[in-house]
Amino acid sequence: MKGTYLGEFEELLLLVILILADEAYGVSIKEEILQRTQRSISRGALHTSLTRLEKKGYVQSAFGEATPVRGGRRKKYYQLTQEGKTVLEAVRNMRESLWKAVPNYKLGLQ
Amino acid sequence: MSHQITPPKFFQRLFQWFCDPDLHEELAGDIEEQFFREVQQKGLSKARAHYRREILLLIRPSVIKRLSLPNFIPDTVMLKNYLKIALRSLSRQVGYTLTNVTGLVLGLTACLLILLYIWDESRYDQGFEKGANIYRLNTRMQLPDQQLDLALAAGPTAQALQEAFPEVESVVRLAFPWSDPLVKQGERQFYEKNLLYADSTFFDLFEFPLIAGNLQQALTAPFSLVITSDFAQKYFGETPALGKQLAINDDLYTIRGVIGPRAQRTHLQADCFISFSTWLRERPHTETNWTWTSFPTYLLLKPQTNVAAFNQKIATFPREKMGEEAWAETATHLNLEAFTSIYFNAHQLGELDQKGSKTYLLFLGVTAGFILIMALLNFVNLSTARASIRAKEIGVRKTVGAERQQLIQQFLMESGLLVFTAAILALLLTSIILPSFNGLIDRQLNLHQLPTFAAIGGGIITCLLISLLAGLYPAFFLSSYSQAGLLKPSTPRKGASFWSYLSGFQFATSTSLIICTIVAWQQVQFLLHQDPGFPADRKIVLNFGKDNSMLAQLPQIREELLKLSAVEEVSSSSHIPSESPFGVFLSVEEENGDSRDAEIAMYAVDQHFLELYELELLAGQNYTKLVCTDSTAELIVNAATVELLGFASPEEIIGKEFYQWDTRGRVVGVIENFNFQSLHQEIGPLSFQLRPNLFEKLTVQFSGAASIPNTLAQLQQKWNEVAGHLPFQYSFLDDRLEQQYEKDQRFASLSLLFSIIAIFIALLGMMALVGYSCRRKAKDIAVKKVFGASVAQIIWSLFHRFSQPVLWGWLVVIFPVYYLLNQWLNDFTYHIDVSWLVLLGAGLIGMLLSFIAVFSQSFSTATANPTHYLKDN
Repeated sequence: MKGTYLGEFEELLLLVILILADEAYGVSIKEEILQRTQRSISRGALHTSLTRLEKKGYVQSAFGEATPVRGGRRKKYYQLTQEGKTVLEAVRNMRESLWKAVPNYKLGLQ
Repeated sequence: MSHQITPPKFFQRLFQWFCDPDLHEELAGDIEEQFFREVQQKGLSKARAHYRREILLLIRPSVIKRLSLPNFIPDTVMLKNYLKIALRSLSRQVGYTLTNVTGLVLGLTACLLILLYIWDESRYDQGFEKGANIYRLNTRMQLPDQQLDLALAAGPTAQALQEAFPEVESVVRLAFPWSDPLVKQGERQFYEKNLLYADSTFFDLFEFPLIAGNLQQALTAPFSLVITSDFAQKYFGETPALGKQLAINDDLYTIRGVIGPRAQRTHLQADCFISFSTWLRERPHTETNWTWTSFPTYLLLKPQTNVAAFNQKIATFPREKMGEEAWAETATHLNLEAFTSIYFNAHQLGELDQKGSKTYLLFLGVTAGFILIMALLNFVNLSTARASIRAKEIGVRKTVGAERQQLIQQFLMESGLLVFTAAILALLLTSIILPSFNGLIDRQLNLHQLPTFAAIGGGIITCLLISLLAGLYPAFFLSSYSQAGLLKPSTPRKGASFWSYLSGFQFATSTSLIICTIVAWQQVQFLLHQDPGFPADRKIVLNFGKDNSMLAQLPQIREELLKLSAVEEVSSSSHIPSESPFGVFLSVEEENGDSRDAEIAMYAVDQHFLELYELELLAGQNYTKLVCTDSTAELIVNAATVELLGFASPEEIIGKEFYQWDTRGRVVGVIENFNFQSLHQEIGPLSFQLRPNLFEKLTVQFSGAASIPNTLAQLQQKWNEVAGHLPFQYSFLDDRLEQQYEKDQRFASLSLLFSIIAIFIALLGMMALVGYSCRRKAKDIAVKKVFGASVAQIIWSLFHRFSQPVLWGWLVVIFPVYYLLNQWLNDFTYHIDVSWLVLLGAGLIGMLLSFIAVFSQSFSTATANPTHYLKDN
């Protein structure tokens, strides 16, 4: 376990994996991030982060079926672990409580 | 999806190679999926470009597989097992192991010896601390018909340069004694060769290990000496020599310093240094004469000096000192030569020591390389051949679950074991034969000379590399087979012809070395037996050095010696052929007052010299007067001088007035050319003068009927009567001539030694190859015999197959070897031509050797009863 700190990109990844539900693997995660955030991330960076998350125990992965389009190689699907979900929730709660504490006029919105 | 649409193959493989296997499936799959998607969206070429970029971007620490090195080191349990198996399989095939190790040991030993030699040569003159800033002053003179490059300078030059240029920190002049002086201490007296006069600054430039005394002041006062410990031992034994006196040519000198011998070789190797002030006492004009160019001179420059610019500055330095008119006669230019590179640079007149030869070093280096490659090829070849015999073992190992990596480990283990054993044996062998090798090449090589750390590190790395190279091929070759293939009774071994061509390469190398050896021997024999222009046999040279009492009674001594029954003729002279003569200026004047000048060699000889050496007169006559004064001297020159001075015929120079070394007179005779120096050099101009005060040697011609010991005994007895105060020191002229070619003889012997090693290795290699082939083809051969093939036919067909690469190798090498040998021979003024017979002969030797290899290995298989091999084994 490498502590419970969750980086911004890691948080993003966890969320995207949740969004993709059962279809979260390398290619789809990359595309989803591109579509939703217009961020083009390198495969290496993506992979490094996924590995790190897995090491921290927030995601787990499993090989799926092989498809001809991948040269007969299997996809590796990612799913959040219970711990992953907890930490995501914790981050969200913390953020919301922070948001609530911000005085509205300071934002200059509305 | 069309068949052609694929990601770039190379990058696919590249990725597989560097990617961590645990990650590969996922990542490769992802990238490929994306690739196919992009092919449809953006087209094939864009998709491929993107694919490549993706792969390259993945070269990052998190993706690259863990360095597989740790995997090569097996865990200890398996290690023990591998070791056990390696030892077992090596001892099961003792013959194979011996062949393999022997070849490698020989190859490594040869390389080690050559490496030591090259190292030693490259260290020549490198041992002085200030050496990098020391330069030798060379002088170039441009005479009308001659350009002279001298490793010498005129006496006043060094001092004047130091005064004129702040770049010069210190200077030192040396001078050679004109003859080998007689050194005396009580009863011990010897003619010494290695004496040098040196300025008191000598030890500021060149540091020598001090044993006793103070080197700073040692060479200041006249009649001071600094001697080496060996020299001290020779004259004083165990008593300390410092402060003692030595007589040199009847003058007494005081020893003010004792130094140890230098650790490294240098051309400044004297046994005894005499203070230069001693030289100046007798020859004070040394300090003022700008034309007497006779002194080796060294400059120590300040470290930051721009040497090229400084060289420019001093080039015409003597011009103002000598005066325009005097300068114009010789057009003397100075130039500096870096001290550390003198050894391999071109030869100049007046060098203190022999030169190194880069050609020889290159030849040896290349030979070492080839021998190592040959030994390595044998090793790989044998390992592979034997490994495929062990195919069954490997099959079983695979079946019970050995991984490929484990098999590789096992093979590397075995080759490593062999290579390191061979390396240790090679070290032992080298240290055993090093003394005899040193004798052969006349050097003092030893293994401690090499820088320890680099040598050990380099040795271990080399061994590891050889083990890898030798082990990897069989390891990968066999571990890649599927177990089914390996377990089948006979798996054809691929690439047998490839190996026979490598064997061809080995023979080509050996053939080249055979050719080199034969030609080198022929050349040396040619040099030794070449007629030097005078008969060298039956001549004894007696040395009496500078001895006034001898000079006074030379005519009587000659008479006394001639009374001996064995003695036919006696002549005295300053030099004898094979010695470097004086180099002096000769100026021959024409009737109209013009003079023709040249620097030529001079011997002082008496009137019997021509007769004794059987030198024929081309024109004129021998000396007419037996006494000459400074103004009525007589000169005899050789034909080369006539040509150099531009006279049309020998007759023309007769009677002309000459001036040479403070004497005037007439040219009386012209003799034919003879080789007064070694045959490396062309015959140069030479002159004879009758100057008895320069005589130092007697040449005694003895009759062919007399026995040599008898003659020597007679001579010695007579010598003790007439010259009892001098040691009886004799040599035979033909021996002295032979010594001129020692270096070439050494080269020929080295060449012979290494070609024998190379041939041996090549022979081992082919024998192993044929032997292996016979074992594999035993059934084949048996079947052929059953169908009526004779033993001769079987052996012939094998020979036919194996000799072909040898033939090809021979064809490939003869032309380059022929060319290179001609280059080498061109260094000699007198040389043989490379005969086509030698080239042909070397090819025949190669064929003969390969026949021996085939015959010795196949005979037992070919003559055996076929049933022996046809039975199922």
